[in-house]
Parts: sequence; C-alpha cells; structure tokens
Amino acid sequence: MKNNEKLPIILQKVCAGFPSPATDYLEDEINLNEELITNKASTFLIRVSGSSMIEEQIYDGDVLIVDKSLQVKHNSIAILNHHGQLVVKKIIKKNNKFFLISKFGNQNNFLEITEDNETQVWGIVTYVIHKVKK
Amino acid sequence: MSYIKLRNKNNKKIALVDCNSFYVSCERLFNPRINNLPVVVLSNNDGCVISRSSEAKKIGIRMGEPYFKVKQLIREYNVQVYSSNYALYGDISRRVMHVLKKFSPKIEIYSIDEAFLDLTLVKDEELENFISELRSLILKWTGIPVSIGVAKTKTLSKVANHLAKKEKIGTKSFILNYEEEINNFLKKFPIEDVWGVGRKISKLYKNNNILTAYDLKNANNTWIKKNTNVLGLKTVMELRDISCIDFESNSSPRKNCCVSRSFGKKVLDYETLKESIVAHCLNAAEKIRFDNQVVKSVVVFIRNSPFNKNEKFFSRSKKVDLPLPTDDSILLTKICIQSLKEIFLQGPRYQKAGVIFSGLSRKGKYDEGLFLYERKEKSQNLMKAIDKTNFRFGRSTITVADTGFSNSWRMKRSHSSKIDTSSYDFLPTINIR
Repeated sequence: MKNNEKLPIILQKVCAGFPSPATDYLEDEINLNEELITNKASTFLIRVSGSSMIEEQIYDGDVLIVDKSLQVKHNSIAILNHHGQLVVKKIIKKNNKFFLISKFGNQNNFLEITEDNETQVWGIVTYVIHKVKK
Repeated sequence: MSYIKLRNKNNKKIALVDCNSFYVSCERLFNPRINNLPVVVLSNNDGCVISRSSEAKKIGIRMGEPYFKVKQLIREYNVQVYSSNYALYGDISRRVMHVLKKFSPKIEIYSIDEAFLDLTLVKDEELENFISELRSLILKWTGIPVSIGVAKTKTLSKVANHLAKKEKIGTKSFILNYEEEINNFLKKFPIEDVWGVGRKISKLYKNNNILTAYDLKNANNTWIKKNTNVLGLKTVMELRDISCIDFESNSSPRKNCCVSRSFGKKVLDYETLKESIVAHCLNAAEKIRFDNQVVKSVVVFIRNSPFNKNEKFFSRSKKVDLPLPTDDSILLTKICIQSLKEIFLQGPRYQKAGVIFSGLSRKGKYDEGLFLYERKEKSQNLMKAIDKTNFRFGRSTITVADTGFSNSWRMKRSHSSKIDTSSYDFLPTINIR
C-alpha cells in the first residue's frame, strides 16, 4: 500500500455499556431553511422599512420570506410592482378579480390588479421574521 | 456529401439558455422603476460598460465602451448607471441554474448567465412548448428574462440563440431544425460571431474569403486541419450538424486561481501595493483551501495602465515555484511580499496588481516528507480556524496584519445598488411608510 493512500476511519466509538437510545437521532437538527423555504430558486428575503402593515403583523425592520413562484390568492400578503415601486399589500378576491387594499387614513381603498393600471404581483409573502426587541 | 448521412444519426437537441442583459435584469429585479429606462452596468472600478438594456443599446451605447466616453450619451438620455454588484449577480445566477437543473439531467454552466442544456429526451412535437414554458417559469421564479436557442450541436445552438435575440421574434426562442433554413441563416451570420472563432482565426478566415458561418461550413477539411487547430475543425463539423463538442461537467477542479483588481485610484507607493497584494493572496488562499487544493507556484504581477499616453507601459511579474505545494496563508503571504519587493519599481502609476496561484492539485496527493510534518499540522489548524471565523463573521475578520487597515486601493463602486440577496445584512428593502 502506498503511504499516501487514505485509510477509512470509522467514527462511531465502540461502547461497552448500554447504548444511548439518542444516538440514532443525533443528526436531526432543525434546519430553518428547509422548514420555511419550499422553493429555493424563487424565494427571496426582503426587509421592510415603515409601519403601514402593522395590522398584518408586519413591523418596521422585519424580514419577509417571499416566494415568487406562488400564485396570488384571497387574503395573500403580496409584494407588488405598483407604478415601478415595490410595495407590500394585502390582496383580496372579489367576483374573480384581485384587488389590493390601500389605506387612506381609516378608509380602505380597493384597487384592481391589472396590467393596465401598471400593477403586477411580484411575489407572495410566506413568513415574517420579527425580532423581538428587549 | 458524407456528413449528410451522418446528420441523420444526430438526434440531439441542445439548448443554449442565455439571460437577457443579465446584470441589468438583476438590477431591475428590486428596482422596477428602471424597467423601461435605458440602463447600463459598469465593470470593476466603473471602467467600461459591460451590460446594457435594450433601450441603452438603441441609443448607441456599445458593449465594452469606456464609461468616460459615453458620459455625454448617459446625461442626454437619462441612462441609469450601476456599478457591478457581483454578489447579487452570483446569487441570481445560482437561482436560474437551479431551475434549469430541474428541467434537464445534463447541463453545462458556461458562464454566469449562460448554460447548455441537453433536451434530447424532449419529443420533437413538444419542444416548442417546452422551451416556452421554461422561459416563463424562469421569468416567474427568478425575475430574469432569458433567450433560448435549440439546435443539434452546441455551436449551432449558439447561432440559434443569436437569432432568438436578434431576429426580433417576440418569443425570444429559436429552434434551428431544417438544413435549408439553417443554411439561410448561416449565410447571413458573420464569421467572427461564430462560437469558438477567436479574433486571430477570424482574421485568417477573412483573408481566405471565409466571411460567413456558411462559408466555414463548406470549407475544405484539409485546409482547415492544416491552418487551424483541433477546435477549428470541430467548429466546422458542428456547423455541419455533427455534434463533437461534448458537455463539460462543472465539477472538474480548477488548475489556476487568479485574484487581481484594478485600483480605484492609481497607486504609487510600495506600502499600498503591498497591502493589496497581501489581500489578494489571502483571498486566493482561502479559495483554494475551500476547494481542498494546494498550490505549486505563485505569480505576483503589477502594471500601470497600458492606455496612458503620458507614461511608458510598465508590467512586471515574478513566479516562485514552491518546494512543496501548500495552502498556508502565512507562507504564501511571505512569498508574495518577497516577490513584490523584487519587482517593485518606484515611478510607474500602478493601475493593477494581482496574484496567480497555478499548478493547483488536490491536497494530500503528495508525500510531503517527514520533517515538515509538525509545522504543517500547526499551520493547518490555524488556517482552519481562520477560515471558520471569516466564514462566520464575514471575510477579513481575521487576516494577516500586512493587509493594512486603510485599504485606500479598494475598488471604486460609486453607483452600486448595494443589494446582496445572499447576505442578511444587505437584503433589498421595501419602504412601506
């Protein structure tokens, strides 16, 4: 045998006593990426700045997990391209049409999502990462 | 002719997927305000235009043009200018390639924005649908528009992709299928645009009246063999629908590692030059350690600008062959500094400096001798600790003191979007006031 060849190493120690029943499960750590991201290629993290979405539990500085591959649904929170600006809005469905809700004071305005009024869905928010401040 | 018979045996379908104005598309992804405006992205140091939106192409900004030359046009047409942001482009590229891998078991990533796909398994009648779906899926998932050209060889798929982009076809995809059709396009296809035909060979071809891809396709085999290299003949065969350039697997380890940068402002003094060389050396060492490689020889090079009329061109390099291959940052840094000392000359206004590691090989391939062992183990543990820390807390948390702290030589990136979709600290931000 040449001295530069590697010998296989067995990492498991041989134990004389009662084997710990936990050893079989040691590798099962929680992987947040796997839990929270179903489509790696289409999922982006986006930070928000501002407080207009507090009603939807999205606070200033929170990080949104956004999946571009998902279709918009009733009650989706979505990232939209609205007149060349990325915005975060709640979407509702009425009579088979989708509307974004925009607020003026206490009043909810409904704006239909069409190519004509230059509003397109960019992606769908799937989770909000909120750091709890001490 | 004999190749026509052979052609029938070739049922391959090779697609070249190319991202449209890739860097511009990446910048537009998080800033749709610039979607319909002319946009350019500049190279390192804001030197040249390296990516243009179709609007920027229309107003006459050419590829590779120096920034200062197009400043006038930029002001006149309100062109949006961005410094290159490779962290962002790299992450978006990874996503596009990830989608492609879902669609074909055989893929060759050819560059940051191009990949060959083997679509031979897709049925003829389904091909058009397939690539149109692929295009819209990539656009939806990653936000990046792509063009797709399909043909029976890699070289022809490149041609098909050109056509998809140029021929003003709404679908941005193109399938080259029938002999006659192919010939018609090849007749209009300039020789210098053929994949694999470099500047030198295209000159030779032109001197011999081979002006289009069609001329090359019908060139005499013996003449090609005599006057060009193996690749020359392969290119000709590929134009004849005979596939002979195989897919390259992307896993083959690299043989060289070069890290160099142009300076933001010209460098005159030895100390600054040394700082940058050391930083490049550490950077390269980290890269090869990540790939589990060791280096056999180290080149340090420095030069001034070759375009400055007021100054003579100055370029020097020094190569050092190591007695034993290594990946030790500290040893490599010492060698680099020693080399720089030997080649440095006071006077030239240095524009670029870099380090090349060559003769890379897998670690542990050599028998390294008994006496060096102890020292080596020590240094290896140190290197591991450095890499781990830097990986966790960001590049250059731990570094060799020679890197310096001021870094006045660092790149000029005054128009950077400063977004990095792969780094938690530089995520794109949406304002929701």
